[in-house]
Formats: sequence, C-alpha cells, structure tokens
Amino acid sequence: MLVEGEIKRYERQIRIFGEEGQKKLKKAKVFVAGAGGLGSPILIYLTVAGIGKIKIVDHDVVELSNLNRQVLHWYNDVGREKVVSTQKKLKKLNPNVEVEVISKTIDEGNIDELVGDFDMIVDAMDNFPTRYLLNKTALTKNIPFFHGAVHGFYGQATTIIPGKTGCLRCIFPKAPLPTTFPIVGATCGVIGCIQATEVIKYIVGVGSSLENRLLMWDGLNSTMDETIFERNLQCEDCSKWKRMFQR
Amino acid sequence: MEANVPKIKVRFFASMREVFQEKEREIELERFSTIRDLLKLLCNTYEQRQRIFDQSGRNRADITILKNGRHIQFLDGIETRLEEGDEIAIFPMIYGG
Repeated sequence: MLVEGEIKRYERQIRIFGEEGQKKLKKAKVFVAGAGGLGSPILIYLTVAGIGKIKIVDHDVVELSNLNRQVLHWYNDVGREKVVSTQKKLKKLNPNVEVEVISKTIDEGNIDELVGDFDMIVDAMDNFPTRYLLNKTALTKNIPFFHGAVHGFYGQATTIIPGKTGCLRCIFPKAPLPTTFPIVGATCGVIGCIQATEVIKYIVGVGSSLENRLLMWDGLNSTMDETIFERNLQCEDCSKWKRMFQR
Repeated sequence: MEANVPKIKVRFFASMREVFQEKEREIELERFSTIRDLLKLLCNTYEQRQRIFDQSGRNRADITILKNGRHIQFLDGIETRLEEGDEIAIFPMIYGG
C-alpha cells in the first residue's frame, strides 16, 4: 500500500506504470552484489525508484583510486567500509527504502544464505569467479540475474532468466585472468543505469528485456550494439534447466 | 561448374573494432573453412594476431567468439566449420565492475 508522500515522490513514474507498478517495486527485494563502480548507479536508481528492500554485499573499503567512478563514495569516506558509506547515502536519498548491508566476501559457502529469499540478483562485481557463483545461485533459486561489466570506455549488459535464456556461463564459459582494469567512471554510469532499468522493467512487467541479447556499449565511438546468444546444451551451470525443458 | 562459395558475416565489438578497424564484414570463404581459417584470414597484422591467438596458436580464451549466438567452445572450438549465412561475433571478455 502506498502512502501519500510516496504517491507524490513517485508521481512521474506512476504516470508510466501506475500505482500498481509502484506497489510492485515496493514489494520487491533486490540483492546487489557489489557497491563499487557499477553498484553506485545501480543502487542510486533502484533506491530513488522505490524498491522495497535492497540487500548489498561488498567486502571492500573505500580507496582514493575508487573515486573516479564509485559515485556513492566521497572523499570523506576514504578508509570507510563501502557498505557503510553506501547505506548512509541511500538512506538520505530515500528513507522509504529498506537497505540492508553486509561487509563480506561472497563465496561458495555463504552465497546461498546471503541471497536468501531475495527476488533477483544484480551483478555489480569486478571479477568472473564471483559472477559465476551469482549466476549459479540465480539458476538454483530460479530468480533473474542482471549482468553488467565494464572496461575503459566499453561496457556490456544482459538479463538472464533461468529456464528461458542462456546463462552467463553459456556466453562466457571460462573466466579471464584477474587484473586491475582501466575505467572511465561514466562507463559505469551507462551500464549501471541499463541494469537498473532492466530490474525496474522486470519488476513492473513492462517492455522487453535483454533476454538472450548481450548489449554492448562502445563509449569511444558512442555506439550501442547487441549480439544474440543461445543456451548451450553442454553448459555446466544451466544444464539442469535444459533437462527440465527437454522433458 | 564452380562450387558454391559460402558467404558469412563477421561482427566486431568493443576493442575488436579498434583492432580490426571495422564494425562488420562479409567474407567469402572456401568450402569447409573453419573458424581457424577465418581468423587467419582476418589477422593481417602482428597486433591482430597477438590479440586473437595465444602463443600455442589457439584462439585466446579472453576473446569471445560466437557462431550464430553459440560460443565456439561448445561447438568444435577453433575447428568449428563455417557455412553459408553464418554470423560470427568477436569481442573481448570484460570483467570490471
């Protein structure tokens, strides 16, 4: 149920998807893995959109070198846990949103409990091994997984729906070697906003999402393209779904 | 009579566009050509070869190659056969966040 202040706050988007859509956002529980470059725009836009409950997991502390892109964290936050800095800002942005934060490294042993009964997972990670864990957890729990990644002026995003689309492992079967990556902050803004848009549309039930489509942003040439992908029958992560659908 | 020559389309994304200096290209291949043949045909410079092949001559793991939306690792890898109308997408694997 929406209260008067909420109807006024969200009036411009209620024009698009009605109070019913806004109620769906208020009921939604979104798990966001990472509160860094992608996490910042994702969390800002999910918070102002009026998502009911957001859980954020990140193990990092804010460093000076984060500040060219991680717009949730400011100069005074250097040395502070990212989740603490994040919670403080999001609460100020929209006190109606319940923000739960956990300062932890996501691993195979804790991911199931961390995601718990949340409705969806948003990828704001900076490495593929953790992304594979998120992908697998989303498949196991039968919840959507909103992928995003960035490098320099380039970015990509896709929306993975278990049983309906290919999974992250279908497109990227093997993780690249981890190194630090160059990045222009605005690239995180582009991709994070696309991920937030995907989440909002999915919850409200409007438009068509990036299902089986990998969207690729080329900021260097200011072009947006996409390539299609399919579920791979031999994929080790989503083969369970294939078997179910082949029955 | 001359045999039909398969024509395929290659699409480059992200930094692969800088490396190959184009967005997409239609290519006529010899019959029974593979991804390896295609990559050899595409790589004319040292930089291009460096970005596509590893030291053992295999396609690099951090460059994604899809044939009609399927990763070639799930097909026959670099030996995957190409046929008329195939669409190949080539892009680097990015992981930042």
